[in-house]
Amino acid sequence: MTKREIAYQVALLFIIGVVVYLVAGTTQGNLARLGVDSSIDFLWKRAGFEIGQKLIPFDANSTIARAFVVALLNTLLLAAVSIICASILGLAIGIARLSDNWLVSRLAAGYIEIFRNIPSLLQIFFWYFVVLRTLPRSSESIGFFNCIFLNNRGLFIPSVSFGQGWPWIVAALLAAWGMVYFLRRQERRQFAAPALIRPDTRRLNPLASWNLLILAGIVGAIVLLAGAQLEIPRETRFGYRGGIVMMPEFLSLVVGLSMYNATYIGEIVRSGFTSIPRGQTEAADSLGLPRRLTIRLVLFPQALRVIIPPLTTVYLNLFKSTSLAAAIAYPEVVSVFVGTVNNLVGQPVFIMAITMAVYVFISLCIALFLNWYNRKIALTVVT
Amino acid sequence: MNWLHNNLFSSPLNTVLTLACVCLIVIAGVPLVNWLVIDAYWTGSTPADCPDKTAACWPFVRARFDQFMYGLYPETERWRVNLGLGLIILSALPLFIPRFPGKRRVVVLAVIAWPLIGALLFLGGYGGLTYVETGSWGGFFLTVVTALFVLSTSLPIAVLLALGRCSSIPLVRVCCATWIELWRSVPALVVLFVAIIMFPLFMPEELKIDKLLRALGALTILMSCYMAEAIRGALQSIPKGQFEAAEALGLGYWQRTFLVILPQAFPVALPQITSNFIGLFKETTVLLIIGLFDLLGMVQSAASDPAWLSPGVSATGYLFAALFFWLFCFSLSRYSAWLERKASVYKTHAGS
Amino acid sequence: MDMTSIKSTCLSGMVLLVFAAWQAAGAGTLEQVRERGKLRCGIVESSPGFSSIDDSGQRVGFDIDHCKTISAAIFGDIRIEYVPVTPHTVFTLLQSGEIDIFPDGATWSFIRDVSLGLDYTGVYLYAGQGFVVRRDTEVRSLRDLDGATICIAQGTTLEQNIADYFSANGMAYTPVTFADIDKGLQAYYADRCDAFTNERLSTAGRIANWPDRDEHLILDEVISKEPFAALVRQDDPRWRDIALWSFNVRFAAEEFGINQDNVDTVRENSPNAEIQRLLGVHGGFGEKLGLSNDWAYHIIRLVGNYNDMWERNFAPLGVKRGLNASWKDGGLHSALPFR
Repeated sequence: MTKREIAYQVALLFIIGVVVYLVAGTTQGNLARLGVDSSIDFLWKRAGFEIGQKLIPFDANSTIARAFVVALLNTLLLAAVSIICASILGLAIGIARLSDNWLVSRLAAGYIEIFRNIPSLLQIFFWYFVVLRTLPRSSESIGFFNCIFLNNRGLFIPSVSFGQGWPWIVAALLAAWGMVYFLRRQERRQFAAPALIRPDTRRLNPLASWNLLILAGIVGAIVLLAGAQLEIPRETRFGYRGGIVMMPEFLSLVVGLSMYNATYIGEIVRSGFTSIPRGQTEAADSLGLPRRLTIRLVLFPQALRVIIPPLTTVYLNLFKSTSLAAAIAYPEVVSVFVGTVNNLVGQPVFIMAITMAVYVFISLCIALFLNWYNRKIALTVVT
Repeated sequence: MNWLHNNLFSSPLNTVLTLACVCLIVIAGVPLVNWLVIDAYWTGSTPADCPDKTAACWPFVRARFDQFMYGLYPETERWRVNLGLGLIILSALPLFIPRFPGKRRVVVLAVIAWPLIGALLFLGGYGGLTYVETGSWGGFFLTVVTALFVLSTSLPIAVLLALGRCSSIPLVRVCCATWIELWRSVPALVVLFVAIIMFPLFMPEELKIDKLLRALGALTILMSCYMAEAIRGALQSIPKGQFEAAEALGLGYWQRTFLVILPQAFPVALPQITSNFIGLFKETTVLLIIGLFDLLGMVQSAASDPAWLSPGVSATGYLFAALFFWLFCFSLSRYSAWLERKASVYKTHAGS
Repeated sequence: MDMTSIKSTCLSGMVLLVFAAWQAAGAGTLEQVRERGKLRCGIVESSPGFSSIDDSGQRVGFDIDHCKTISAAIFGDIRIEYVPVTPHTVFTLLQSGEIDIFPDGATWSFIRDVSLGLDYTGVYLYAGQGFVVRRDTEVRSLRDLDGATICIAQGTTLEQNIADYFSANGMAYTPVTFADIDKGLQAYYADRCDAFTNERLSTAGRIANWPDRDEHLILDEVISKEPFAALVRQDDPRWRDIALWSFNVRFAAEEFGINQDNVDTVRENSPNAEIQRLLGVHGGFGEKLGLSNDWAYHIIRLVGNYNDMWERNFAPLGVKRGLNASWKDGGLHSALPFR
C-alpha cells in the first residue's frame, strides 16, 4: 500500500468520524429539545392497540415488541405467498412465451409488455379499489361448496384445528417426511445413472407417487385419529367468522405483486431456456426421451443455473415491494411500526433503525439462500 | 393457410391451446371493450354525465385532466411548467440522436441546468414570477420533475460510488460497498420515511428543508446506489489492457478514469441505466404514501371526491394513469432494447 | 445581597413592569384590531361543519361563527379577514400577531396550555371519538359493535382509545388501520368495515355530502373526551377576557331563551336584571371590557345563541347535541353569570 493510499484512508476515516459526530450531536440536541427520552425500552411497554391480522396471539395488552413480531410475520407471509404465486405464474408465462403456438406466445408477450410497464402500486390499487371493492357484500357472498366464501371483506376458507392432538400431527409429518426421504434415496440408488436414460424411465414417477399416496393416507389417518376438526366459516351478524380469513388488502397485494413480478420472472425463464444450446434437446430426442422428461430432466436443470442469479434480484425486489402494503391497510412492518408505533411512542430514530435492519437482514437471508442454492445446483451438474 | 397450420394447429395439443386462447380473448376482451367503449360515457364533464355507476366514465378524466397533469399548480402559472418541461425535453433531444457532436457536453450541461430550470421556473418567487410552493406541485408534472431531478443528481454520485467500489484502497472499497448494499436492500418507501421522519432530527433546528426536496434527496441516495451498480458492471467489462495502456501513457488516476475508462464504460452501462430510470419512473408513485401527489396520487384523490365516488370512475381514473405510465415506460424500454442491440453490435465489432 | 443590589433589582423589575404595561397599553390586541378595522381570524380550510365555503361563496361553519362573535363584540358588525392556517403555522402566526384569534384550537390539554405560550378561552365544544355505522346493520349503540370490523386512521390516540374501550367492556373487534382519515372513511363507505371511528363532529362533516347519507348513522356515544377551545396569545389578559366573555354570551343567551329572532323584543321588554345587564340596558358591562355596552346584543343579533349556531352548522349534518346541550337539558355547557 502506498503512502498516498494510507493518507486517503486516514482522511476518509476522519471525515466519517466528523460527520457521525456532528449528526449524532445534533440529533441528541434535537431529541432533548423535543423532550424525547431516547431509549429502546419502549419495546417492552404495553402496545395498547389492536392489529387486524395476526398469526400469533396478540391483543392490546401485549408488548410493542410482540406487535413488531406480528407485523414482521405478516410481511413474511405476504412475501412468501407472493413469491410462490409470482414464480408459478412467471414459469407459466415464460414457457408460454417459448411455445411454438403463435397465439400462445403472442399472448404471453402481450401480458409481459402490458403488466411490466405499469407501476406495481397502481396495479395493487386497481385490484384493491376497483376489483375487490366491487365484490358483493357479506350477505350476498359468492360461495363455493358452502365452505369457501368470497365477498368484499375477503376470502374465507375452512381451517383445520388440531386441538389437543397437535404433537401427534407434528410427529406424523416428521415420520412421513423421513420415509419419503428414505424411499427417494432408495429409488435413486436403484435407478443409477445408466438406468436413468433408459426410455422406460417413466416408471420412476408412478412409483414415487404410489409411495406418496400411501404416506398421505397414513398421515391423514393419524390426523383424524388425533381429533382434528375442520372449521368452516359461518355467518355472524358482522360477516363471516372462523376458518382462515384472507383480507382484501392481502389478496390485492398478492395478486398485484405476483402479476407484476411474474413478467420479470417470465422473461428470465425464457432467456434461461433459450440459453441452452439446441444440441441438448436434439441429444435428448435422439435418446428417445419423451418431451415432458426432456424438459424436466435435461432442459430445466440447465436453465435453472442461468435463471437463479437474476431471479434473486426479482425476489429481493418483490420482498421490498411488500412495503407498498402501507398504502392500503395491510398491517405489515412499515404500516404497523413506522405508522402506528411511531405515532404512539415518538422514537423515530430507533424505529427507523429497527425497520431498516429488518429489511437488510431478510434481504441478506434471501440473497444468501439463493446463492447457496445456485452453488449447489451448479456443483451437482459439474461433478 | 399454411401459416395457420404451422403456427396454430400443428398438433392436437396446439389446436386445443389455440382454441383455449381464443376463448380467453373472447371472455376477457368482449366485456372489456364493452365496458371501455360501448357502455362508457364519453361526453360532458360533470358527475351527472355518468349516471350508471359501474360504466367507464371519461367525463371524469376530462374534468380533472388539468389536475392530473399539473396537480394544484395555480392555473395562471401553468405556462411556466410547460415552458420548463419543454426546455428540458429540447435539451435532452440531442442525446437520443446518434452521432450528435459533443454529447458528453450536453449531458454535463443537462445535469447542471435541469435542477436550475426547475428551481428558477417552477418555484419562482423573484422578478415578476409569483412563488409557487412545492406543496401545490403534483400530477404528471411532479412525476416527471422527480424522475428527471433524481436522474441528473444521482448519476454523478453513482459514478463516484462505482469508482469507490472498484478502488484499490481497501477502506474506500468497503465503505462504498457497504453504503451501496445498505440502501439497495431497503425499500424505497422506508428510505422516504427516513427522509421525512428522521432527517429533520439530524439537522440543526433552524434548518428547515422542504418536504419535496427531502423526498428527492432520499430518492437520489437510493437511485445513485442502483446506478452505481450499473456503472460498476460496465467498468468491470472494460479490458484490463485499457487501464494498463493508459497508465503506460503516464496518465494519472483521474485522467485515466475520466478520459479513457468512463467514456468506454458509459455506453455499456447505458441500457442498464435506462432500465433503472424506468424503474425510477414507476417508483415515483410511492411518493403518494408520504403525501406528495404524483399522477397516481392525483387520480386517487380525485376519485375519492364524494361528488364522483363510484367504481366506474375510479376504474377509469386508474386506467388513464396506467395508460400514461405504460406509454412512457414502454417507449423507454424499447429505447433501452435498441441501445442494448446497438451495444452488442458495437461489442462484436470491437471484438473482431 | 446588599442594599444596593436589592434596590437595583427592584428598579429593573419596576422598569420591566412599566415597560410591560406600556407594551400592553400601546400594543393591546383590541387597539390593534380597532385601528386595523378588521379582525384577523385564523381558520382551517375545508373542514365541513367547522369551516367551509357554501354555494354562494360565503364562508360558513362553527369556527366562522366564533370569528363573527368576536367581530360583533368589537365592531357591532362583521369585519373579518380570514387567514387560512395549518397546524404547523398557527402557533407562530399567533405569537407574532399575524392573527388575533384561532377558534379551532382543538383539545384543551395540559401540555398545549402550559408549553406553547398561548391561552385557551373556555370550552365551547365537547368533541370526542365516535362511530358511524350503516343503518341496516341495526347497530344503535356502542354495545352492539361487539365483533365488528372497524375502519380507523393511524395516529393521535384513536387506536388506543378504541382498544381501551373494547377491552374494558369485554368486547372484540377487528381493526382495519389506514394511514389517513379519508382513506379509512372511503373504505368504510365501500363496505370494507361495519363502522368507522374518528372525532364525531368532523366525521359528520365529512359524510354530509354522501349521496346516501341517510343510510348511515352517527352514534350518540363517544369513547373519549376532547374539550375544544379557542386560542389567543398569553400576554394580553384583556384580549383573553374579551374572547372568553364573548363566547360566554352565547351560552347565557341560550339559558335566558334569547335568540337571534327575539333579541330586540327581549331587550326592550325583559324585566330580568341579569338580562338587562347582558344586553347593555344597565350596568355598563361592555365598557369594563373596553367595548361598547351593547356588545352582547350585537353578538346575539349577528351570530345568535349557542343553539342557533348548532342548528345552523351541526344539525344539518345530523348530529345531536349530546354532551353539548345546556346543563339544564343534561349537557355540560353552563353560562358564567353576568353580575
